[in-house]
Amino acid sequence: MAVAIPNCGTYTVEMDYGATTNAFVLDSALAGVLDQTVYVLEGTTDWQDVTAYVKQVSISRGRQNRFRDPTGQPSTAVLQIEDRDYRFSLVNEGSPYWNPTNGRLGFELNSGVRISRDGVYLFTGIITQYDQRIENPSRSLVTVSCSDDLFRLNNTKIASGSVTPERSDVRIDSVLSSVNAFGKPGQRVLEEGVANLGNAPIDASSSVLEYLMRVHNSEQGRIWVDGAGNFHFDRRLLGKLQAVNGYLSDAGGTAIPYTTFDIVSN
Amino acid sequence: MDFSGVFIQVFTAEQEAELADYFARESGARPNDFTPTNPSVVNTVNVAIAPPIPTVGDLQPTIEYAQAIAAESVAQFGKQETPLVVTLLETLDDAGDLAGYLVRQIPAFWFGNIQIIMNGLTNAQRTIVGSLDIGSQVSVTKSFPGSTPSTVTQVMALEGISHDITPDRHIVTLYPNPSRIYTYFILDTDELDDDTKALA
Repeated sequence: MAVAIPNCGTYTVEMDYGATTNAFVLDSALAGVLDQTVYVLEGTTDWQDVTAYVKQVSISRGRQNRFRDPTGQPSTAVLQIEDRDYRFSLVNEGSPYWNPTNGRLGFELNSGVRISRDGVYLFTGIITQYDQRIENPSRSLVTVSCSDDLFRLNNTKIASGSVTPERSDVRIDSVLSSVNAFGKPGQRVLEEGVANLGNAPIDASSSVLEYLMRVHNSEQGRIWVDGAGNFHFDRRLLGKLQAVNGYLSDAGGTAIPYTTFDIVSN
Repeated sequence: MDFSGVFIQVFTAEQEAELADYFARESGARPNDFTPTNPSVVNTVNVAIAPPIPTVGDLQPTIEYAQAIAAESVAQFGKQETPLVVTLLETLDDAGDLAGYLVRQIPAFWFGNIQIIMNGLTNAQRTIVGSLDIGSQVSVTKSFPGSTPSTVTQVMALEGISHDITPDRHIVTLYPNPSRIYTYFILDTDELDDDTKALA
């Protein structure tokens, strides 16, 4: 159940435990009927709302300093869960999140996680680490570490091949297509790149993310994934016309107040 | 492309360089792009293009590169030079453009790591903060009593954002950085020759 934080909004943390709501099941009298539209091959993820058990969420996306930090680093989210009845336990076969098909708790590496506030996603990604700490007599704390889908690209080897001269955004688009990443409609938001890339062949020794970083090395823009899980490529900052999205001030009025900031001297 | 105060030249001589794309390299040893010794000032940037694949007759192809030098900055801060980094760029002109873009002649400062407590905002303000994302442009104003000027405003682009959420509060931290984004010129409000303003 979503949880309201006073004067902040309504928050929802959802996790995928490997179940679907309408997956096609071979030989099933109900879900295995051909030519019907309710049960489909992959089904729809049966997201589990676990918000009520979450004690703390920390999300970090992007970078702090574009002159020092590389772009294209996967966003991270860390969930702290108070597990009073061991429903999140790796050893509890009676957990509602137990996946009987796999014989394991459904929350595991690469399972989906999404976090939203008032229906707007702050983070969409996958589990990268799942740790459970037991404190006697019967307290269980679970820490779930997550990354966005750039993490998958870091674990995917790129295929070698020849390329033709093209703009950086075109190269990125074809590389993502070659590994079927961010392939849903509207999931790639690519600005027209400034960099014209040559025909240096792609070597298979690197991961997809490493190769994207090489492309970025020539562009010097940004590679990032938004809160809803969409891939973005921003070109080099050559100057563009853009409205101000938010006014922050210590002067009161309608401007957004802030508590602290640093004057960063680079 | 115009880079005032920056002199760009092209070299074709052989030079020790980072490995080209088709050589295996572990992540930890990968050249960290153009990170120089002191990143606050970068006044000499070397950008190479990938050399041809070695052949029987040419086992060590020549690496061509462009170099951008900001002489005034070199005179003031000493030489702050990047390593020679091999990019995937097609031509030396492209390399020259990138080298010029990466030059930072003087140290910069900006308002960063801005912390906002969502609980203290109005609904409208929370909606705005909730919509901010990487690439969004924010204007940050701070008054400094007794200082000159007494108020400083910076318009910047977000490079990062973080959220810390507990059962009773939500803290948002914005990481803006200097941008090259123009805002709309408003007649009778903005002044001419302001290089941060543009017409739609």
